[in-house]
Amino acid sequence: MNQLKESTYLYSSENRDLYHHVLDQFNNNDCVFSRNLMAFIESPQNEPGPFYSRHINECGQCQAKVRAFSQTLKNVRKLIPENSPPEGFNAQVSPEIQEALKFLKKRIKVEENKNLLFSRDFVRQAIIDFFTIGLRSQTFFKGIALAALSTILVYIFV
Amino acid sequence: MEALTHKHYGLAFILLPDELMATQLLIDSISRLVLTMENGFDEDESRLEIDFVTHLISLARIRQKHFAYKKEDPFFKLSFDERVILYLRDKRQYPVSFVASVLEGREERVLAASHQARANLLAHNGQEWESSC
Repeated sequence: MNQLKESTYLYSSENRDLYHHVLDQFNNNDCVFSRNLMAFIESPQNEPGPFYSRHINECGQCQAKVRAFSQTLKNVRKLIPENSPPEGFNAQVSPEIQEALKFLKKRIKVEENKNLLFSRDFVRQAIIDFFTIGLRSQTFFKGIALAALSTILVYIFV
Repeated sequence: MEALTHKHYGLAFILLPDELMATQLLIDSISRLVLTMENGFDEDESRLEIDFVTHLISLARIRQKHFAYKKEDPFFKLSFDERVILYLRDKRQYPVSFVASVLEGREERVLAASHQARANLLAHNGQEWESSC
């Protein structure tokens, strides 16, 4: 309560020394960078980056925070179970995987055949179209005539 | 593919804590993977792993609704997603991007959820998250 009554305005020039004293104390108790430290340690890259890596080496406050965090993380890890595959796991799983792989090979073969079939069909259809539609079309003959005329003109003038 | 099932047995078990269920889950995830592999045997290995774990999680999510288990372990009191996030991120140390991919979510969401999951796990174990963290 006494402290509240005796509050002092720190930003005035006559209290400059007091201001720096308070700031030093504040920084000694809680490094300003440590407030964002966890966000950088927990960054998606899983590393704090060059500034924080250097800062952690120099700052006791941040080192303490990192130590506390690492300890908590260790406690968390201890509580997460890890189970190895049971005996005979491979014998159980392998035949099923081989079966699945056989299916995959079959699927790839079917897809390849489908592509081949598609290209064969395409060529066959093109030939049929040429003889059934192309030869009967007036546009087709006009096109041929135009192409022939262009070729003759090129021969004459070039 | 066998290496994948071996590597992710632990994950399958924390999702469906039963040897038989976990093994079946892995087999079914491989079958699903084979059905959806677009590039056949030329599939990129890291892509293959992400797809495999994604299938595993989505299948387990469906099956766990019909699978009742009683485990006193505080870890099994966590939600399905919290278990996935803690196991992959803190136990197996996979990058956040991997966890976000297999959960089909955003990295920021995974970071926030992992923080919450750690606090929940410690609380279930009667411990407190270090306040300075």
